[in-house]
Amino acid sequence: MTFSRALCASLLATSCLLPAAALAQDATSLPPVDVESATSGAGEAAPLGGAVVGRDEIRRRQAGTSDTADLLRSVPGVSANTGGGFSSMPAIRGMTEQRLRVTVDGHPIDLSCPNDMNSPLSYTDPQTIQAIRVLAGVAPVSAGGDNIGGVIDVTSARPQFSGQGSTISGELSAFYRSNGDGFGGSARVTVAGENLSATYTGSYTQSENYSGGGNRGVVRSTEFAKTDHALELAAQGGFGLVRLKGGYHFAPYEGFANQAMDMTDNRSWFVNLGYEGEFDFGSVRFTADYRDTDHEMNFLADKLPGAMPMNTEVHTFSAALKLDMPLSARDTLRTGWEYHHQWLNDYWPPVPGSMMMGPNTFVNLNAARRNRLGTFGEWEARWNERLTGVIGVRIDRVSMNSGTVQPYGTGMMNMNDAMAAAAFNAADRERAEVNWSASGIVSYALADGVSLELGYAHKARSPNLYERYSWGRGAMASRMIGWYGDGNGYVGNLNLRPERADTLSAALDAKGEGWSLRIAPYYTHVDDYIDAVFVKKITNMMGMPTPWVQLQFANQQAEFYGVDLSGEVALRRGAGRDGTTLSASLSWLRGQNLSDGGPLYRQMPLNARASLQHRQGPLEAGVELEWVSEKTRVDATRNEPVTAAYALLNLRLGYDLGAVQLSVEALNLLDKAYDLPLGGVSLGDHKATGLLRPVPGRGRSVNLGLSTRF
Amino acid sequence: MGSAAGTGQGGKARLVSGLASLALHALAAAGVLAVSGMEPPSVPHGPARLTVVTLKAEARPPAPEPEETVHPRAGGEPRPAAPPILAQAPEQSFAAGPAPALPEAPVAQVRQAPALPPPPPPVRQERAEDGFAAYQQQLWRHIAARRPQGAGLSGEATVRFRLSPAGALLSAEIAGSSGSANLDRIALRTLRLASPMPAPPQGMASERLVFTLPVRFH
Repeated sequence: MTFSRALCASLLATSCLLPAAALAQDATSLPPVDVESATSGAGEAAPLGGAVVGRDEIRRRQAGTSDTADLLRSVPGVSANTGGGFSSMPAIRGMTEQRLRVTVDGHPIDLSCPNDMNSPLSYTDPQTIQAIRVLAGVAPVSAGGDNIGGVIDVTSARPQFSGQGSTISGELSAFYRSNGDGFGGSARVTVAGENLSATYTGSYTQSENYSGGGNRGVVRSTEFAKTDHALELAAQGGFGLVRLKGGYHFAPYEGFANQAMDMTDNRSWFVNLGYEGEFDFGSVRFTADYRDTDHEMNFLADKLPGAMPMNTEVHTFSAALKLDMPLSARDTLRTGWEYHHQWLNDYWPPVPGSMMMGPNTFVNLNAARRNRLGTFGEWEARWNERLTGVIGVRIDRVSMNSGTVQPYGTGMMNMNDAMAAAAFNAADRERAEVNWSASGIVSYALADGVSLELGYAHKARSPNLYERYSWGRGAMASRMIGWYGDGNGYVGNLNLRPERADTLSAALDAKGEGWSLRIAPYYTHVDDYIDAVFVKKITNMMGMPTPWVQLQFANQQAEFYGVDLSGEVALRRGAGRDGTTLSASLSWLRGQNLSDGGPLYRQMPLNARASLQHRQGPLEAGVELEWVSEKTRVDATRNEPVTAAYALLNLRLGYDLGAVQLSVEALNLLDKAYDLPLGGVSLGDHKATGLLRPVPGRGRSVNLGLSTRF
Repeated sequence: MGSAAGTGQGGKARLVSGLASLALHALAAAGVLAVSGMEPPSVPHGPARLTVVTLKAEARPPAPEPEETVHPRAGGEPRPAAPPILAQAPEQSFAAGPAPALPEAPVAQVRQAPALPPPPPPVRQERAEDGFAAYQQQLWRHIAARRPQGAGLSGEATVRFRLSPAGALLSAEIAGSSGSANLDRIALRTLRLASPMPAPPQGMASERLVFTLPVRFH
């Protein structure tokens, strides 16, 4: 009813356009009001604890990395857990990717690999990303459920329409990296009519193994190649805006320095549907998507000889409806529903001639399902010019199941797995949980330019399919499970309970003439945090000890606390965008397992960065200093390596020729040798040399970038 | 294949989530009721809906809207039938320059208290134009403070609206479309939610309480 009313209203509005224009002479015209968009396009509150990395910043840095998570390290509190060359897993304030909601254009992408090699952000390329929004700390429940650590949303270009006639616009880019001989390119072309628009985006990127800094030498298993293509059609009219996007991703190879396996083939296609409508009562957002992924692991050159195919097939479907209803200038009510379905097969074909890996297919997960149905209600109130509040409640019901499984064989060599499979098949594997979440955020302007935000959230996340249903207890089978890069074996746990986190977070924001400062402390307590406990030491086939242990996922208690600081000072202001700016940030974090009393795994040590950015006319120059303290708080359960402190110097130069933008940068200019504090252990090197070391960071790389917009 | 949503998830799942959804919505509805009960609705319901009124003849006196709260004119005050030249003058100086006259106009987060407008200044014929210029600023700030969030599209929608002598929104329409129905509707909704506006200076002729406002979406 309301819909048709709104439609009539708009038709009327358009039909009376002419007389209105004729009358406009007599009206008093007021100056324009400028309205900025939230990057997501949805009317969600963006808390102070959040950040947006925009196209300009991404363009400046896209020559340096093909890894979207690596880009996010510039956001205070965000770190990247090392995976492949385009598959780092982002972590927000110590909470790893599996605890975050990561979406692309608002569509979630699921874990589709026992090592999380094809992480959600691996389907994005910095060259074609429009913006990345990070909600750290307390995210409103409307931003999504089934996460306890925050939200990362990557958006590609929004549809464009021409005022009249049709227009063509786009962006082309290419880059070269000296370290690893990396290169790549991208294209975005939009053909826009008044009410129809089509956008193609495509990118390609590849690299050889990179060299570590100083004397670290080549880091094995760090090569990669991938390509992504997508076509989006959009139509607007009295009904609103409809977007239909289809895409294809192909990665022929990606080495993993800190995993026993490499990715040898990853193909994924998707269809996304989106609807945006504005009505009298408010905004309607509907999204639906389907994604099909075929993922294969085996050994790339550095890990040969040997073979061990491991295949994963995943289908996901989701649909979500969100309503945003402003009731008055003060109150806005939001509500929404979301359904998400994941189906996953994970099987390891037998290896001909292998006593151990045969004669049958190892069925790791058999038609495993994870379905989630969620709904939320949220109320935002602008009490007055100083005080704003958002409170919301959310319920998600997660149900999971998995079919029966089988080991490679039932001989002596597979006895552990054979017994584990029998126990798994006999157990009741169906699980269902109702998880509730709530969030409350209050923003208060203490004075002009000074605001304080306080937030509390209770969030819950159910275990993922691998945490719950991995069952192999043989040394080799368990070492295939896990996204930790530590070489250890992991066994799933049918009895896992959902993680429940209570977070208190604050952000004090102060801005003045030419400066800004943000201080954001936080504390999170997690009940039933899914960590791992010791099962046994892993021995090799001869019964000799190895550096690895077998662990099992288990619910523990954990807490995280820390503070993120960031600030900026304009040292000099010139005409237009000219000027010199000094910016700095610092993050300090403690993650503690309260059950075993030790530090949590992969917690970023104290780190800071300072950069001086100078812009004059077409020239842009930047110096950046990145400092990370030593990492001595390590997880003893996983034998996490200690890493030393290091400082890196990066130089960037950009020149705008008008039609073409050039950039030259030197990352790790001094070729400093260092180890990645969140890198885990370098298994590619270990297999080739027998020496075990942490994964070294990249040595000096001189990168050239070229881009043009039309 | 294998993608059939929710196969095998029995009615139990739907029941639980249905109940949960119901409970949430009941909660939300209760919230709305509580909120609307807490303070008198600032926007009257029926006519304040986005009724699009086609203004036929400018000379016609304003059609009396049901809710129109007409302040009695100060006794015997002559109708300030300002000549067109005078009427345009403040507008031109105002609209020149890039939104300059407004002191603070920070782009990011202006939040104006929905406070009552200050008592109207004493009506003095010679000061009427000053008063009207000040009122335009006050009106602009009132609306700008309630600016919406954009929808990720760019365009400029110009809305034309008419106020009652008390500052209530009588009608609003699109005078210049942004090219996107969504943006046009957001612009209209913004005006509706901003009503009531600050009361115009007393004695202002109703023909003069017609404004146009460009809303630029970025």
